[in-house]
Amino acid sequence: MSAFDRLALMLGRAAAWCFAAIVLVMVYEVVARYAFGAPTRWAHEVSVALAAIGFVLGGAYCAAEGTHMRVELLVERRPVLARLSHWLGGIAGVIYLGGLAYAAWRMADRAIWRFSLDGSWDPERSGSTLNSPLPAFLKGLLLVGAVLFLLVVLAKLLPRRER
Amino acid sequence: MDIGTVTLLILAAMATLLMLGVPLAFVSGSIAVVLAVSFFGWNALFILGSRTVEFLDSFALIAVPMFVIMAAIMERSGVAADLYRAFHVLAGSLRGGLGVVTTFVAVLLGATTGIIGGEIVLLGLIALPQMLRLGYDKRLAIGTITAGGSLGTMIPPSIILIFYGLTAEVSISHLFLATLIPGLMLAGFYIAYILVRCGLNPAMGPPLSPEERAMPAIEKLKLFRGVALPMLVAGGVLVSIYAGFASITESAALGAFGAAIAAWVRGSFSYAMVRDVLIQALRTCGMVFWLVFGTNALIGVYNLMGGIEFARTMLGGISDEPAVILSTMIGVFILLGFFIDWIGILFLTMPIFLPTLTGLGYDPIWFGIVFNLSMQIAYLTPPFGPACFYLKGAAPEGVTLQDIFAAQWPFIGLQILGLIVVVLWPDLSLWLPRLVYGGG
Repeated sequence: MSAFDRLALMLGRAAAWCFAAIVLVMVYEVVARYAFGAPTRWAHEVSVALAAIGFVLGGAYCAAEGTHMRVELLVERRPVLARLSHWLGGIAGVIYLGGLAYAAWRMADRAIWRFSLDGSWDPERSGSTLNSPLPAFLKGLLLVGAVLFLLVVLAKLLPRRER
Repeated sequence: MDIGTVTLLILAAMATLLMLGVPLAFVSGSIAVVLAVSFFGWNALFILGSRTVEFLDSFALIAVPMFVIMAAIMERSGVAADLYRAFHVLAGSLRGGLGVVTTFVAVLLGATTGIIGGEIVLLGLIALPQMLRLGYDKRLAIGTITAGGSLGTMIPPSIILIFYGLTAEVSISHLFLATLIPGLMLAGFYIAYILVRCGLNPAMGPPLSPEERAMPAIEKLKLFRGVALPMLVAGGVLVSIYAGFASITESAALGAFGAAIAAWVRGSFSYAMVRDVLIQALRTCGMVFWLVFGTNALIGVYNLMGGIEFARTMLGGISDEPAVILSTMIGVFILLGFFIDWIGILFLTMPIFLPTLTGLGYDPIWFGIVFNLSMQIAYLTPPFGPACFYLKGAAPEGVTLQDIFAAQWPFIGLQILGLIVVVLWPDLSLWLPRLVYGGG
């Protein structure tokens, strides 16, 4: 298990608590709406942000755990193919995640590194009544998730050091 | 290179990578990157990022982890086992009674979850040993569990229908109502099949032993005490969705909260349970959503190349007869179902199928149910029927994968029958949403 595997598992375990937070946020939102007659302005966007943390970091988590869905039947029957399958899977992963990370970096750069005329920081915002910087957050998050996922996949491809 | 050649190359590359065991999430994603860069240059990679962010920025999607949490809490707090025990004594002297009870419990469990894996494992652990102990025919018992357990996605709430609703941009609560009658009909088919087989040959499904039957009625009722609250929670979620009391995501979160309270009342709530349940939700989302990211990217790039237009023209050119085109689509679902998961099928085919279908005048809500029924078949069909593998993991000694595969065929037959019935009589699915929400 590589250091990146351990990092991805640790971050995943932490990110999973975001789902618990969403449960509480949603319960509060419904209670606020019906009991207090005052729905919140923030529950919606906060939940989307929290859930995205879990969704995005879940990719690297499953890779570290080895639980991504794959068709194993042929490889099980022809063990000769196992090495080929390992390398092909890794290379396909690097191509996809490399491409995604590049796209996310360009997008995050544009969305986060923004300044208004007076020089103050002005990340891309949602434009809702809350007007949170949700789009900037999602783009930055995707970059982090894709890079972490990429590192986990790369670490599996590199020759393993015996310890 | 013309788009027809490219399409063939994409299909060939996908099939090769899939068969060689490349994770599904990477298969379509890597092809998307290669296509984007080689046809449009580096800037085209933007489409991967923007489609992924667009997908993430969806409130309805949060219902998925919420339903997973609700189901996982129910599972871990032993509700399923209690539910089965409570209903199992009702089987009585009926031949095949336990099979009927198993199907019935599968439907109830389906209402607490939208995922099939957990349900099949549970039934495999609880119901299969019971049926085998009574001397049930092995294949009948196995088929009841795989087919019954797969009903989880036909009975609302259903994760498949959440994703379908998002893709097709139709109301998820309409879909949840539309699937109810077809889902129950399918369960009815299974029950009828079990009763007929056991009626003709009593050795296939013997009744309960006299001691179990002799239990006084009051004792039987007491067994239901432990499951009343969890069932109330599951029912409450559905009512909340249908009545529009809260959105689907909110209802699902309330369900997760209610399930946690029910677990606490039963004394099975603990830090370890919460931690495991949350990790299970993360794992499910990581698996499913990254698969969607990749497939979504491929569809985006393919569309940019004019591929979707091409595929639609091809599809529309098959025949002037709408029924032939519809049958082709269902055939594609079932064929792909032999190899890949429903989520991959959904995101690969729907961008091509849906516009053609609505152009032909079919109802997208009804088509969602047709898709859902096709996926029921996909769950069972060897060699990649997920239901079979889930059960293999939980089945007692002496049940081989060959037994499990062989047991599926009669139930696959019943599913095909159900599919044909819903295709021929769309009102079976559309009547209920019309009744509740009005409209034509």
